[in-house]
Amino acid sequence: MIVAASKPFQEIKQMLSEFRKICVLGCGSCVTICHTGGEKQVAELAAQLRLSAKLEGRQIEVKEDSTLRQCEWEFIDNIREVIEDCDAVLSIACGVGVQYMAEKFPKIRIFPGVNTTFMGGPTEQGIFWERCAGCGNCILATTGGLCPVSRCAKSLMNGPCGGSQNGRCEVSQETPCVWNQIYDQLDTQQLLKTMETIVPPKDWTTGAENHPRKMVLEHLVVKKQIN
Amino acid sequence: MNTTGTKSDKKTDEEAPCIVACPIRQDARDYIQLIARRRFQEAYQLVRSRNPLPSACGRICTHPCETKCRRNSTETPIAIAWLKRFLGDNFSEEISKIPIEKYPERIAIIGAGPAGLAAANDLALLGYSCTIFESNSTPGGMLRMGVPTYRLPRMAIDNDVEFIKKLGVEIKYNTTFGTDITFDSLKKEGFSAIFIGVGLLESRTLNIEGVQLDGVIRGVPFLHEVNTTGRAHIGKNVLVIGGGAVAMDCARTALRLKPDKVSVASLESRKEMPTTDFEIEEAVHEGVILHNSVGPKRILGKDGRATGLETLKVKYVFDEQKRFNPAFYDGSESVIDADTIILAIGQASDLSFLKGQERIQVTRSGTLVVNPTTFSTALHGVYAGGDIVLGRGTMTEGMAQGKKAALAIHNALRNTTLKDEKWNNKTAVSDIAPSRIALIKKEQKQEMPTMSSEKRLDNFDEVELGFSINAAVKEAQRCMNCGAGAFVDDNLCVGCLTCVRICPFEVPEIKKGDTTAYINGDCQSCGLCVVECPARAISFKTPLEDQGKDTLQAALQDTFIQGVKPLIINFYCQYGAYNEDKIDTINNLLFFHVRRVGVLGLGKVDPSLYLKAFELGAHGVLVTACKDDTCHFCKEQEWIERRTKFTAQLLSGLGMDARRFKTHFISSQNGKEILDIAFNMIEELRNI
Amino acid sequence: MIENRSDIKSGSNLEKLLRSGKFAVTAELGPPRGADRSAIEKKAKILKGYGDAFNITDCQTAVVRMSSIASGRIVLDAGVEPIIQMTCRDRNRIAIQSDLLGAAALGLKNLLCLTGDHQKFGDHPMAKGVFDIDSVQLIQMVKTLRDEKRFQSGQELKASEPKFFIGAAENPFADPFKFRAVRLAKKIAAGADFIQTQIIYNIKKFHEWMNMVADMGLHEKVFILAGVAPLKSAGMAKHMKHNVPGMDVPDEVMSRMTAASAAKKGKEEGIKICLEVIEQVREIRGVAGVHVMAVEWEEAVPEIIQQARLFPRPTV
Ligand SMILES: Cc1cc2nc3c(=O)[nH]c(=O)nc-3n(C[C@H](O)[C@H](O)[C@@H](O)COP(=O)(O)OP(=O)(O)OC[C@H]3O[C@@H](n4cnc5c(N)ncnc54)[C@H](O)[C@@H]3O)c2cc1C
Ligand SMILES: Cc1cc2nc3c(=O)[nH]c(=O)nc-3n(C[C@H](O)[C@H](O)[C@H](O)COP(=O)(O)OP(=O)(O)OC[C@H]3O[C@@H](n4cnc5c(N)ncnc54)[C@H](O)[C@@H]3O)c2cc1C
Ligand code: SF4
Ligand code: SF4
Ligand code: SF4
Ligand code: SF4
Repeated sequence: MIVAASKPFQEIKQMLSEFRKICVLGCGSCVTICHTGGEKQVAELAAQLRLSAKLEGRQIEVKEDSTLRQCEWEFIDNIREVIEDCDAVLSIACGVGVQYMAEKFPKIRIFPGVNTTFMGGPTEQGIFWERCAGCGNCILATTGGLCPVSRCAKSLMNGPCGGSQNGRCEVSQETPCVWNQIYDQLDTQQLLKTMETIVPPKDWTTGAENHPRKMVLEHLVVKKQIN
Repeated sequence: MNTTGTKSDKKTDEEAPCIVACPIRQDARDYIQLIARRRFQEAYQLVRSRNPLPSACGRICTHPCETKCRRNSTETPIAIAWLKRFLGDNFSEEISKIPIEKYPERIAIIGAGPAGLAAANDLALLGYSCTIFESNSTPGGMLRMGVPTYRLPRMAIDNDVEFIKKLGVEIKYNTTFGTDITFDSLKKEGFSAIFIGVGLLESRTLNIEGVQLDGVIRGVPFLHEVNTTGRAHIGKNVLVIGGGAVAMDCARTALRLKPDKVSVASLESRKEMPTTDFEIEEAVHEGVILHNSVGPKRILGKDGRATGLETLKVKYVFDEQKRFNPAFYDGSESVIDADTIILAIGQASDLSFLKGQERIQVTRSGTLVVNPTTFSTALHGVYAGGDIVLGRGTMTEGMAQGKKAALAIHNALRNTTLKDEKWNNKTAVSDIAPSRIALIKKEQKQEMPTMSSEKRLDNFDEVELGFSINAAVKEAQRCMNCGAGAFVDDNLCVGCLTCVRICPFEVPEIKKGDTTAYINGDCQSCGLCVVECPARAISFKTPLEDQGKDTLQAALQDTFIQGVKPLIINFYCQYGAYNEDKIDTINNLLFFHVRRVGVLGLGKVDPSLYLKAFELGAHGVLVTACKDDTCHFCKEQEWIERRTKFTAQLLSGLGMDARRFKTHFISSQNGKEILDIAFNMIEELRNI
Repeated sequence: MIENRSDIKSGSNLEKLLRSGKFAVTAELGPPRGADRSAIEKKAKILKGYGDAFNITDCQTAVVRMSSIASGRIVLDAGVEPIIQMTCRDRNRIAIQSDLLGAAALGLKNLLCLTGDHQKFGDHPMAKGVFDIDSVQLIQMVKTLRDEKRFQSGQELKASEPKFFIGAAENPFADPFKFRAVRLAKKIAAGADFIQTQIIYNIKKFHEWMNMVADMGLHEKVFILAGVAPLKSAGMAKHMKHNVPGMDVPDEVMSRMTAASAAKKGKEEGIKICLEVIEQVREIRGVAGVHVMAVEWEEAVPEIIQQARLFPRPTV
């Protein structure tokens, strides 16, 4: 899933300082699961905004709403009435949702309430790790199912580097060296031989370096305006 | 108060076992939960809304609810009946408006026992004019005639009946159906329906030699006499024949008349006796001598007076078909001396009122045959319920039949199909999973204060003295809110697994094949998951749990807070507030500057609510929670700590003085410590 | 001698020496954090004659310094042979190939190929790390340029190829230990002609590694220069042990440095230990030379080389 982190409240406050009628808008998918963009956060942020305005003697109105996925025209259309009644929207969806909102409601100011961070998942309750870099050319088949592009600090293809010690990455003691993990995994699977072959430079044409990327599913395209 | 709004779990349609077990489906869990929150008046109203005799019921009900209470798995059941008694003794409801008689039909009710009173009560509330015809000069039926005063003070009956009368029910005493009035006379008088609740007034007797001797008396008449006059003619050596509850009542009543000795001869062994252990223990404790597994052969006498009972040893009481069919060992005779012998071997019906009336059918044991759902007899417009139908019933079973008959009468007269949802057959929440029992804190039962055994035998006063407020609340707080805990809305749940991972009792799960979480009846209502669910998909089924929100609103809407400065909102754990007998003093002392928002466990409180308090005008927020060693849910401290720290950070980010938001973990929510903390905070806020 | 060893690739002094079987000495020369040419010339002057070639680091520990290639040319002008270093951190494959063509044109012949320290450790932790390719791929790319006259993309060079004596680094002390020799083999297969190792204090472990290397016959395919470095103080030893990735400083070395530092004889003891290490690694089969990394302490190099009886340097 997409993992996003809450923006510091000070930053949010600054962004919204000139608006009087604000909607805090959650998204019911990834960001809900990572506890930064769901209904609970909507309520929390709204409460903060109201209280902060009160402390500064400002009058504001804060609405709370949420939709299943902000990255779908139809779902954000469902809340059109609420949105168009506001001066500004604090979207706590990932960057995709924020942009959908901005495109859909060009007259309303849309602000991001989270920092979209990575694709990953919770490894334990409350702890999230990056797991995929969206390189567009998946190599997990050869690395024991562990991704060096997103999980090796240097995205090495022929790791581990000389900094790998005690299973930890040289960049941070907290970070496991994924190449050490790959080694162990391939060892378990009796595939260590794979690590003896030199992996040639990766073809990044499909990667984030070549954005914006686009995917077309010919068989599903219909000529119906959905926005 | 919306107590009917408990969300039901559509997947299982479960109900708390205490409610399912109750013949009248008394909302046991919900009135207990109200007591746990100190909402006594509402609790009383809730009880009364279903139970026409709460004070009596709270004392002598056989409480099948407690037998089924899920607290049996952890230690002992909740004292459900005693809590009801607590409400009945200490609270009442002013009826401001007598229910309007909506309908022209008048209903005749025969017998002012539990069944008749319940039918009248419910019919009056439905809008009918009811008249009860009672052959005695007082109401209550067997409760007054049979049940001894030391178990049920007559005030308790009178209060309850008084209330029913206020609903517009008329009681005509000294009027016997069959002699003073008849089916025909009632019809002529214009009654549209008749409910028969005449009970079983005849005491059964034994078919053995000597029963006609002087000194051989019958149980219920004996009890009736003592209950009404405080006296009875008995000798020095009393023997009660019978092993049931009536026998115990007779024996204990006899003891209070101060003979030299009171014994009981029972066919059954100690274990087989058809009454509760509690009754037997009380009797033995008070001095009754038990002779078990002996059957009466003949009553010995001299000069026309009884001198003793010759007995035989019992081989078995029940035969292979489990029917009552006692058999004895030949030649096992022995004698129990007695100058008074009380027969307490069961009751039988007096059906003389049926004379000339052939349509109503009668069973072989002398009870009336009725339709099991409508309680109507074969005679059109005539209904029956209570012991006269049950044969050997209890007061709640009798009330249940009276209530059901009342609704059936209404539906018949109005040609409607009104339903009482409570009678729906719901499955009881199943027992706590064995693996979970260890995770649930054992909370010891509150002791019922009783009269000392020396004092008891000098009078017919009530033995059990009733709960104090603190004891009642503490007892109620043991309740696990079965079937009304957390609930996941499938439409909102995103399957994030947070609830699954954080529940201290490991209740929520996402079952194989499901995409959303499911919380079963083992939920302890700690509320941690309700707060942490990022999708706000979890709520409490019970509308009684507001997680502090309504209480906070109410506290800050109070006009008396205008101009109070500083005004502090104290969120505190109600579980920690009843370990000292000072709650009212504390509340009074803190009243001016501090408003208290009590919650059953602060783990239910969303941090946004602390912000809300400031938003609504508080100058300070004081969170006082229990330490882990006293926490009802065992380990909420960590969660409360995290959330208050988080809130403190948010507030300091908004530029708020740190002195305005304080958290303390203390062992009691009403001792000196909390006073000191509050007063310090008031001082500090004055200086800001 | 296998074919690879005699077939001169770059014609650098270092290559010729090693191929002739002489025990080689290289040392590190750090470029300045400014545009000052004389700083390099000064260091070159100190080091001249005390080694066969000198490594010019490429923004080591991700701290911005003068470019390795530019500094290399200055060193060459000062009459000393440089080994330029190239990391994958700051350049993608286009920039790397471009810079290497330039380096060759400037007459630079020795090249050490590295992944590079992570930007997080440096003076611009907010920088975007490139890491388009890794060190193994870099080695392969340079070899392809040199031996096949093709760019990494496969297209042919339009003019003459850059002729580098290709070096790689290896850390015998990193994990997983068993994989370390295999990784060396990978680098050799990719095209490494010589190897400079991470600094050695733990001789036992180095020896173990060399045994694995020799068992695989790798010492005959590549020239291995054992990395050494004089410690200055107990503080430096501690820093190395705990903060430098992939460094193994045994307790014995730690305690010797602690004792010496207390007696204000840290530098002397450091040099002594360094000499002992050189003495011992020389004896190990497959070690073709030493690489002295006296970071910001170039003055120590002449003393060490003299005392190790590696002075004067032979010519070929
Ligand atoms: C006084 C009374 C109190 C009650 N209290 C309770 C209560 O607290 N809890 C509750 O659940 N229900 C109670 N009930 C309900 C009760 O079970 C029936 O309502 C009542 O009609 C029968 O009373 P019993 O319990 O004595 O009779 P039963 O249960 O019928 O017992 C009668 C006793 O007499 C004995 N007996 C019967 N025939 C013979 C014979 N031929 N020879 C010798 N012994 C014989 C039986 O063995 C038995 O011990 C009470 C009922 C009454 C009447
Ligand atoms: C000694 C004793 C102790 C008991 N203890 C308990 C206990 O602890 N807990 C419990 O749950 N149950 C107990 N019971 C049982 C309980 O009292 C009965 O189940 C219950 O009272 C039955 O209610 P009812 O309305 O059907 O009949 P009853 O209570 O018997 O009431 C019938 C009423 O109808 C009147 N009546 C009868 N015939 C006529 C007529 N022809 N015309 C006019 N009026 C008439 C009677 O005078 C009486 O007032 C006890 C019973 C006894 C005898
Ligand atoms: S230590 Fe491991 S994870 Fe870290 S940069 Fe090196 S190879 Fe990658
Ligand atoms: S714990 Fe409470 S709700 Fe559960 S069965 Fe007992 S009384 Fe009823
Ligand atoms: S915490 Fe909420 S969203 Fe997550 S699984 Fe539980 S009910 Fe569903
Ligand atoms: S309310 Fe508490 S006990 Fe109930 S499911 Fe949620 S976390 Fe578990």
